[in-house]
Amino acid sequence: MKNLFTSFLFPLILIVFTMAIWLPWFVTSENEPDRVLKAIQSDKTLVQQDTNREKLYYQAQFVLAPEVLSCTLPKDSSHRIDCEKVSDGQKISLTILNQ
Amino acid sequence: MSVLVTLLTFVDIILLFLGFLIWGQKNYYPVYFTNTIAVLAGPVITGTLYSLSLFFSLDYEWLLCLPLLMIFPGIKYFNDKNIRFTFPDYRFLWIVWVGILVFLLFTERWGGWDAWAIWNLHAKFLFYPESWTSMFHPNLAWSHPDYPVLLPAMVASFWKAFGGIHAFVPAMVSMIFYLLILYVLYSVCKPYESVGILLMVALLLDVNFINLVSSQYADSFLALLLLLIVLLQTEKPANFHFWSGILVSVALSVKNEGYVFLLAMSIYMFLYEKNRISAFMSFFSGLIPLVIPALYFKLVFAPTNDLVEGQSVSVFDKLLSPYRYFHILRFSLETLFTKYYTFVLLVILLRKFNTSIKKEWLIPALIIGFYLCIYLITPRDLLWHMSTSMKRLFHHVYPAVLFLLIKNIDLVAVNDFLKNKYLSLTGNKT
Repeated sequence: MKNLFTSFLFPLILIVFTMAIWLPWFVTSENEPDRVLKAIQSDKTLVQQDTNREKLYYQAQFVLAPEVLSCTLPKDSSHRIDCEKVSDGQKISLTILNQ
Repeated sequence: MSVLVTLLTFVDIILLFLGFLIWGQKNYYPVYFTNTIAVLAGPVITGTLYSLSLFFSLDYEWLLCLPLLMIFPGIKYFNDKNIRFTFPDYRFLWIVWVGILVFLLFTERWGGWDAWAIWNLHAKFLFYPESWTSMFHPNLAWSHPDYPVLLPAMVASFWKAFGGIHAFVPAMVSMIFYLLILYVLYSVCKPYESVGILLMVALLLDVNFINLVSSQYADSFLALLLLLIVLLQTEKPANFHFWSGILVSVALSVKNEGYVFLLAMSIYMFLYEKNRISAFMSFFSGLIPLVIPALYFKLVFAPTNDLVEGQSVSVFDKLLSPYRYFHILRFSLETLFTKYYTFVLLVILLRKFNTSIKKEWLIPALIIGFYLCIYLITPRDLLWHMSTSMKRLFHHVYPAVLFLLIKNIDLVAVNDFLKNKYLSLTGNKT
């Protein structure tokens, strides 16, 4: 009985417990694409490390899919990209501040 | 409608799991092969059905009813006393727990760059049947829309079942591939437990391996498929050519590199099969069911691959350039010694235990050979191309090569050596 507990039940309980803690945290946590989506929705400047404008465009495209974006990298600013949705022409402007 | 999809998806997955377990036991397949196929069958089949529903504008709910037909041939086994489910060694549960912990520490929401920029992006398009073809818009050429869609379709079919787009789904799918790789490699070491544990410790400490499996790229799925193909060619259970065909067709539905698997397997069978015609017939009959939707996608929807489109008359010049050969060789060795040092260490550690090179080594060798040939003629900048992809390509063959290493070694001697080392360290006598 003790053997069954240590060899089977205990690791099984640990697996279930680990997943039960990790899953809610993972669902509610944020990563770079999530922060890009938040910045688009709230029209705020995105403060992020190691982000360049190309990466920002790819991430914006990912979070807004299945919308297709058409983006330009304006010459007057090295921190901004200007996009519009191909479907309805809605304009989106994103600014990043590298930390 | 969404509740029906949820219900049908999970009933299908459970039915396919049980069906393949029973089938494997009735046909005396190795337990670890049967268990792995049983776990993979549900996601692969529902993913394929989902992609078919998009390609041909079919009703997904109706297609999900097809696996339910398995109930009829399965009824006769309900009271069969000879059917016993062999679950993995319970000790393996400890490895699963540590493996899960390591995976969860490394994985992140939406995965690494290629995961969100390619695989999960495609899955998002596939999730919306009315606009999925927008993924072929010219503005999205950078996201490689020519890549096969089985993995994104698997993720999208789970998103449909869960009723929305959730970041945990691609992470869980990747974790299943990773745990299955560990499971197969641990199982082939049986009954030499200490060898299995040594291998698991090596893999769980292998940062490059963990990084790649937790990145949510398609490469770990390919690595698992190649491991199973090599396993079949080594163990030779019933209809192993047929099953190799099925696994190759899954590989080429996951990534374009699957076509390299097909080429390598064809050459291997041509060289080593005595009864070539029946072997090829069996292999291609396994290949056909999944290769048809994969080719249909390539011919009807997918744009031309960037590596093919970018080719020009300079291919001949590239083939004659010693500079390219030198850089490919240098970069390959660099990758091997910096990213795959676990493998190098295992080879050094196990060299004294009668290792022999058998014909099955030709399969990963051919695959790596073809990959290196692609570098030779790549239209991209060679150094950039190698730095972004070589470690992933080596990852495809890594579990299969570890498997061959285990299979071609005197496991009894290794086991005795490890046991004696353990006993001498703990102060006990044999």
